[in-house]
Order: sequence, then structure tokens, then C-alpha cells
Amino acid sequence: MTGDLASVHASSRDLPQARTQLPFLVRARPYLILLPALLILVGILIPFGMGVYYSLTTYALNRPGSLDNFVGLRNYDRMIHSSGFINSTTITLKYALSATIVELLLGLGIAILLNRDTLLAKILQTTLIFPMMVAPVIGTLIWKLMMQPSVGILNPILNTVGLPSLQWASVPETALFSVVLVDVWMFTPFAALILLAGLRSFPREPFEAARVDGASLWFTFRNLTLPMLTPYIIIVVLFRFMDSLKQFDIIFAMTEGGPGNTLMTYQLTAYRTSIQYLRLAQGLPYAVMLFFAIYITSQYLVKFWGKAQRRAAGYSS
Amino acid sequence: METKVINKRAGRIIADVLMVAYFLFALFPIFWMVLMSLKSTDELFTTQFVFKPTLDNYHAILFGDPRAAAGVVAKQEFPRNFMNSVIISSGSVIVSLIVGVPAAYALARYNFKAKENLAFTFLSFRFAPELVVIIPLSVIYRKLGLYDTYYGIIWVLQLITLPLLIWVLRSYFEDVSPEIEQAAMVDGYPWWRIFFRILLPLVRPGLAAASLLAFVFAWNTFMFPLILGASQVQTVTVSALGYVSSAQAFFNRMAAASVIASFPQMIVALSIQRYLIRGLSFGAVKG
Amino acid sequence: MAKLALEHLTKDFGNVRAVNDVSLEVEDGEFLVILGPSGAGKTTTLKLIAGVERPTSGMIYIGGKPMNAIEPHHRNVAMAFESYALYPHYNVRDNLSFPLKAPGRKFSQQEITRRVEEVAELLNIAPLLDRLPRMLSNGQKQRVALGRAMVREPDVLLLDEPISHLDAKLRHRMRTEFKALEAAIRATTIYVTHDYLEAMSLADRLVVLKEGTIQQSGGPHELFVNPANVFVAQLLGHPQINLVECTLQRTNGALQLVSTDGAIKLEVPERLRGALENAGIDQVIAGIRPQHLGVVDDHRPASNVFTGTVYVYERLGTKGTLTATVGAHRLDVLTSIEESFAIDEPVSLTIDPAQLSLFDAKTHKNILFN
Repeated sequence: MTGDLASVHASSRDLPQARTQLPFLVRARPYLILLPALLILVGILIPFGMGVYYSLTTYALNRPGSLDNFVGLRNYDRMIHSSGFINSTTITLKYALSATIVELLLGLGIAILLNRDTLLAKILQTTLIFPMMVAPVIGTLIWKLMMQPSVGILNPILNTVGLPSLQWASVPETALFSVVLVDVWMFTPFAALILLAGLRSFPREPFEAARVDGASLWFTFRNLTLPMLTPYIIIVVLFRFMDSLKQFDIIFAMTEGGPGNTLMTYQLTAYRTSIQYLRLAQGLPYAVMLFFAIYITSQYLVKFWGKAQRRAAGYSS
Repeated sequence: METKVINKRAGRIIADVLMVAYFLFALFPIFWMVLMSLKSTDELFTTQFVFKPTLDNYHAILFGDPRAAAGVVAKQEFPRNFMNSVIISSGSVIVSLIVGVPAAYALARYNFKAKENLAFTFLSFRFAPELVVIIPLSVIYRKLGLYDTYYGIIWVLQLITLPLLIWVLRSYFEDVSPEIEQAAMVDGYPWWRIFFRILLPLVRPGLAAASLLAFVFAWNTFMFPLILGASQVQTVTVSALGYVSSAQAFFNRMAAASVIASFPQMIVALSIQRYLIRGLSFGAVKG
Repeated sequence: MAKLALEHLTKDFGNVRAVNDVSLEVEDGEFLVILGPSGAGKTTTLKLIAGVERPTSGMIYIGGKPMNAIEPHHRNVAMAFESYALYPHYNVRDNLSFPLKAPGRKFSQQEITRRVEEVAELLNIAPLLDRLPRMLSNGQKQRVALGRAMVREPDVLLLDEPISHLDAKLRHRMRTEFKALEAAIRATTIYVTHDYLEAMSLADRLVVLKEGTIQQSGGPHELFVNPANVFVAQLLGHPQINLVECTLQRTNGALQLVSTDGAIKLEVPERLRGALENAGIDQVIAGIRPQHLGVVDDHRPASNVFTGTVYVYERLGTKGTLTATVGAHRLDVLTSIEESFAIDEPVSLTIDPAQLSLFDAKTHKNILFN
């Protein structure tokens, strides 16, 4: 045996030390193909970093030299103690929570209704996504038109069923309702589609076993349906909650943040202060704070999703 | 026994009724928009569904309104806005493909320390409040001369199109067993041939669907062209607002513009039905 | 055709060592079988040879040339994957001809067609040439995967469990066809399996792998008769070898092995006495193959005879398997089909001491090997 190994080495003994590694370019390949994406990543991080820096100064476009004035976290402090901050926080959270919850529940109902084998269900499912395909601005404008007192159709419809006309987004009382209504119209299809995919992915055996064992409807729902549906619910919450926290198009197209300050969410406030009033350093803290809130929350949600997925997978094995 | 049958039937009918009720809610506004677009300006302020449909509005926004007084909004700008949307959306999808396809492959196949962190960073672009990037860019772009240019908007739109393509494609690449690529390696093929002859054909439908979806999202975007663009690159989404905020409220014209501006998305929606769920959930749900 | 050499090959996946210091030489044209349970590192070893996995340390030589710095597509190795890994968008014909059309390979179109048809005939898949993989059964897919590996004339042919996913009858048939094919396959071949029957039947030389480490290497019969450790002894042979833990006792100058519950007393055979004394241990595991145990009518206690009761008796076509409970042990005995036993019936067994294998109770190694 050893003799043979010697003969094997004979040819390589004449060569310089045998190379044990692939050529450098081959080993570097994974990193090289990531390079363009990394460049874009850096290209996005740079303005972001600059934005954070601006928020630590008194930068206003109409005041030359204001960029050089570094004031640390003063803008953030001012923001938190400003009169509009509480309103802004409240309205941002109210919008996000109500939209997400309604979309989740309504979406679940629609998913259950669509999870049947009928021809009607199949036809309707193909058109389900339409509201989401329309540009949010355009969708909002349609609803705004429908809510319009002179040409709009919503009030006449309400009147025909005996309900009084509404002033929709023109008054603070119904403004939030109006924009959330548009959000719900636009994004419930997303929730429905995801949850429908979830319902369809369920293995039949656990449910059949439960039925054979005589389990109640509630028991089945709580111990089978819900755990297996949880990863999908988390996906819906992840996308809808994060998106509606930063929703701009719908609110802007409807009222630009009004009436007055009723719908001035974080992004709307940042827009008005930084872009309209040109006071960049004053508006950016809203955007930056929103960013961190969303970043941290989404990290947790993604982790939860991983756990929920693994738990749900246990039911199908 | 009979009650069960009746209940089943009643249940089915109620379910159908509820389903149709929702779909009326979902599709009515779109239907109403189309109706609006066919109304002549005289009949605009009536709420009748029976009227004489006219294509005047479409004509006006596409070719200009010969009867309009000077200063009426968006005479012949609509075709231009439409083209801008086409250019910007296609441009950003193409850039995202060139950058994202290799990145998605690297994330799917290779293992390195910062992999999940990197993947999550790309995902975070989608969830980040846009203004946190747009506000600084509004200053930077003006200095660099990128304000109101195609390149400028295409670049920022990567915030929207790139995460989608990377994550969805990554999930499609992961679906292909690595042993198929290994078999091709052993069969004598270098990596780039394997990529084009084996891998791409296998992910092609998913790739096409993801690109179309990204196209739709790029098309529907509003904030980026609003703040970082002006007259040169105005898209249909920004110009849509223009119809309503002008002195004369040409709601019917706006409706016609909206119909045309929404047309590509509907075609995409119908053609990628099978891939919709995976695309919308960024690969999280395989549906 | 070329000689293959692996030198101290190791592969780690994170904290898991899949291949542990494997050194192996395969002669030109030799048919080597690597046998081991799943997770033993067999597939990883093949992938290291193919170049599809990179070794953590160690060298690979094909035809005397070091392969570590060479990518798989330059290595002239062919591999049939356990998962088939057929190209889903190509039909069988295109799958088979794919290796022949690789860049750098100059086969003419006629040559390609000839080889594809030859292999298809050989493997009985000629009528399937226009089908897509998803329209094939597992057995057909496996044959296409094999054909794709055979269609070139590679230096080294690697076969990863090529018949494991077939049902028992088909596997048996394919095994005999493989034996016939061996003549047609001139390449240095490594055949990986977890089925010991395939290993025994097909191997020129057999290597047993456990958790990435080579346990023993040699001819199949040699491994069967002289297993290097308990693992190898258990792996080969059905029913499995009987193992009894014993203590060494000297009675009247004679060496005896007594099982821990005292129910079994065995005489240490002459040929093992020396090795046993050299080993200096007194706890051993005695290995007795079912075919070396016999049933006797005499129930009187004697050396190499022990009594127990019948646990189960199975008649399987040509042979009977008696499982008897002796003390705390369950022993399998192969008997002729003529016998009959009732459950709980007392039975006496005898052993031919010359067939005994002894293993160190602590290290599990055969005392004849050190």
C-alpha cells in the first residue's frame, strides 16, 4: 500500500508544492457577483446616513449656513416636546392599527369564502387583486371622487338605504375613517390572498383525525387552524402594519394631511416640514424615528415568523 | 338529515352572497372610474348610470382638446407622462434584474457569515419610510444634477424593485435542487453555462412574474417622482393629481387618464395569477 | 480510466465532521464499494472526488495528478446522484447527451447519437428517450441518471446508491444486471450503498464507512469472516450477528468466556487464545453468526451448549430463523426449513467455537486486529 502511494507522489514530486486551493478568482466568485448589489446598498446608505446627519443640525434650505450648525439630538428633543407630536403619533398608530386589523379580519373572512371549489369562487379569485394593482394615488382619487359632494356616488348610495350623507375626509371626525376605508379597499386582497394560500396549504390528516376523535369546532380552530395559520397571519401583519405606518400616497392624495392637522402622520409631517417648509433638520427626525421603529418591529416579526413556521411545520409531518 | 341538507345549501348561498357583496365593494370603484371616463362634461354632475358614453375624454387627454380654452391642465402631456412612467418603470426593473439576479443566486446558494443580515438589509429597504432617503436625496440630487432626470428616479426606485426581485428570485433559486447544478458541473460545464442553460430556464416563469410585479410597483410609485422629479420626468401618478387640483375640475378627464394609467397593471395581474402570492409576499409564502 | 487516491481527506460542515481522515486507493478499473449507514459520509466522499464539495483538508489524486485546485468540470469524473438530479426541462435523450456536448468535448453528432442509443439499450430505457423526467417512474429516472454518468468514458465513475429507491424485487433484478454491467464499465468505479447485499455481490473490494471514518477495507468475504470491529460485524450478514458480552474466566487452566448473566459458557478456541492473552483484557464481546449456531436435542449443560426458550420462529421460504431467549440474551439461529418450534418451548443451542469472533468490550475492536 505505501509503495503505491509513493508512486502516486512520484509525478507530483516533480511539480512545485501541489496547489490545494482553487484559483483566487474562482473562490472570490460569490463575493464578486454580490458586488453590484452591495454598491447599490452603499448608495442607499449614504443618503440615509446624510439624512441622519442633517437631523443633527439646523439644516433649512432657506437659511444658508444652517447645515454647519451641529446641535446633536436637539431636534429630536424638540420634536418629542412639540405640540403636534402626540397628535402625529396617535394618528400614525390609529391608522396603522385599524387598517391592519380590519384587513386581517376581513381578509380571513374572504379567504374562507374563497376556499371553496365553486366556479364562482374561482372566477372571483382572479379579479381579487385588482384594487391592489391600481396606483394608490389613483385609487385614492377615485374614492375621493366618489366621496365628492357634487359628482360623488357614495352619498347618494347612503341616502338610498336611509343613511345620512357624510362629509368624509373634509371633516376631522370622519377623515381617518375615509382614508382607512381606502386602505382597506386597496389592501384587503393582499391579506385574503396570503391567508387563502395558508388555508390551502393545510394537510387534511390532522383535521380528519380531529373529526374522527370528535373534537369541537372551537378546539379544531384553536389547536389546528390557528397554529398552522399563524405564519401567514404574521406575514400579513408584517407587510400591512409596516406599510401603513409609513403610508403616504393615500393620505396625501386625500387631504395632504388635513383637514388641518388631523391626518398628519409621521411621514406627512416630515414631508410638510422638510419639503414644503424646507426645514429639513426639523422634519427628518420624524422620518428617522419612524425608520427605527419599523426596523426594530420588523426584525421581531420576522423572527416570530420563523418560529411560527417551524411550529406549523410540525403539524404536517 | 333534511335540516343538514338545507343548512348546507343555505350556507352555500349565504357564502356566495357574502362573496359577491365583497366583490361588488372591491370592483365597484374601478367600474365607476371607467363609467366616469365615458361621461361627457355636461353629464358629469348627474349621477345617472344611463347616459350617452363618449370617448371625448380619451381623445382629449391623448391628443389635446381642440375646444379647450388656453391654460387647461395637461393638454398633451398625458402621452408624455405615460412614456415617462414606461421608461422609469422598465429602467428600474432592468437595473434591478442585472444587480438582483446574481445577488439572489449568491444568497440562495452560498453560505457566508453575514448572509441573513445582508438579506434582511435588502428587505428593510422595502419597509423603510421613503422620506428618510428622499429628503437627503432632494438636496444631493440637485447638487449632482440628478434632479428631475430619468437616472435619478431609476436609481431611487431600486428601493422598491430591488428587494422584491432579490427575495422572490432567491426563493425560486432555492427551489432548484443544488444537485442539478452539481450534476451539470460534473458533466463538464463551467458555472456561467450552467447558469444560462440550466438555472435560468428553470426559474424563467418566476423571474418573469417577479419582474412584472416589480414593474407594477415601480409604475404605481408616487413619492419619488413627486419630490425628486418635476416637469421632465413627471409620471402618470403625479400628473393624476394635477387634474383635480386645477381650477376646472375635469373629473371625467382624470378618470380617463386613470383608466389608461391602470391598464398595464390589470394585464399583468391577469397574466401572473400563479405567481402572485409568492411575489407579493417576497417569497415568504409559496402559494 | 485512472487510478484514484485519497489522502487524509477530511470535510467539515461547520461543527459536523462528515468525512474523517479518509485515505483510500482505488486501482485503475477497480470496482470499489463503499458501504455504510446513512449519514456515514458516503455521498460527501463522492462529492469531494467529483470536486463539487471542497475538502477541509487532505488531497485527492486522479491518475496521479492532484485535483484539489481543479474545478469539477475539468476533472473527467462522472457521477450518478442518489436524487437522480436529472435536468427537468430536458427530455431523456437530451439528459443523456448533455455531458457529451460539454465545451471542450469534441464528439461528433453521430458519435453522440451512437453513444446515447448504446447506453439507452444497455439500460433498457430506449423507448423513453423522448420523455421528460417528470413522466418517468423512480426506477426509470434512476436508470437515466446512471446512463448519463456512463455515456462518456470518464476516468472515474461515481455511483451514489444507484438502485436504492427501487422496490425490493426491482432492486434484486438491477443488482444482477449491475453485475453483468460491470464488464461493460471499464472506468474506475466507486459504488456507494447502505445495502450490504449489493456490497457483497458487486464489490471487488469493500470499504465500510461509519461517521466519516473508514472501519475496514478488503474483499467482501474477508470482511464477513474477519470483521475488524463490532460495527462491521453487525453491518454484514442477515440475520445480524449475535453479540454476547462475556467475562474471561480461567477454570482448571482452561480459558472460558462466560456471559454476564452466566447463561452462556463458551470455550475460547485455540486460534484466539494467543491474541486474547496479548490483549490483556478480560471483558470481551463474543460474536456468533446465526448460521454457526445449531439446535441440539441434548439439554444437558456442557461447554458450548446453552439452553433457553423459543421466542419466535419464522419460516422464510428456504430457511427458518429461530430466535431464542437464553438468559438475558436473544439469539438468532438459522435452521433448515424442516424444523418446527413452539413458542416458549425449551431449546438447546450449540456453537462451533472455531467460528467465534471476539471483540474488546471497551473498544469494540476485533482482538485479532490491533
